[in-house]
Amino acid sequence: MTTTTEDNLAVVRRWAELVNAGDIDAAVECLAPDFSGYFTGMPEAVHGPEGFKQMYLGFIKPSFPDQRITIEEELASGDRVAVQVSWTATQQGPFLGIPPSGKGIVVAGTGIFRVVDGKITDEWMQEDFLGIYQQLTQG
Amino acid sequence: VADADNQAVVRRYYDEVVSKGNYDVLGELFAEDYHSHHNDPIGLPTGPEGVKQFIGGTRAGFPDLTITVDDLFGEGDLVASRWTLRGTHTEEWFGTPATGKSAEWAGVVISRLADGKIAEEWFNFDQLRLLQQLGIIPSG
Repeated sequence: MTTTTEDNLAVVRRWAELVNAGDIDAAVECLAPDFSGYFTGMPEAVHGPEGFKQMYLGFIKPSFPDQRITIEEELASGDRVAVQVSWTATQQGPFLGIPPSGKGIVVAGTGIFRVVDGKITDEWMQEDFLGIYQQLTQG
Repeated sequence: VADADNQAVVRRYYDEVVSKGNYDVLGELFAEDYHSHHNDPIGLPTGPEGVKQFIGGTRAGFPDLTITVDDLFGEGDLVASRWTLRGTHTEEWFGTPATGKSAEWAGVVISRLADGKIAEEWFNFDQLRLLQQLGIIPSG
């Protein structure tokens, strides 16, 4: 299959939209079976669509059920896509030892994806952990 | 300015400044009005001086700091990169006393270039893993 950088950008945009919609089963169909995800604070990679789904259901959704990713900058070259995102969410469950605060947060993230044959094979995403911590605990 | 030239500027920043601490080249690599969007608790100035203080402070706290550029690519006026920094925290680091601990932490960066210089950066790095490895915040 021949894919272009525009196709790869479309896969990443679709991935973000489906995660935003909370449709995790459809979202993980954007991921390759051998997907590896490298995320802030995690010493080990998340593996496969099922690994991502477990992280989302176990770690993200309970604390931030309304989480939303907005792509603000993007570029693509070869099989890679880079994005600058803002991440908005309301804390509804415990997170990093912080009890549910009901606070709304907006933090930045920067990520690189590798897309092969229309599926995301790798994601490296760093989020502003300091900002999350500051916004949940201050003010 | 070709895409490849922009990528060479970003690579030179990592090779010369982050890896070797050669701050004399900062004026060639960063625009006078350079600014970064990262969450900055230090209050760094804009322009090359802010980069000097940020990298200088990190290299001072981690004197054996090394950088591995894991990926670097570009399109138009943007360059994306990701890196791994490794070092041992044997000196004071932005007010945090030395812990003597080793750490490695990842970062992802998007740089915008104008007239062959880095004018703007969006970046995030794994502060959580770094602080956990130094024992400043608990793991887990």
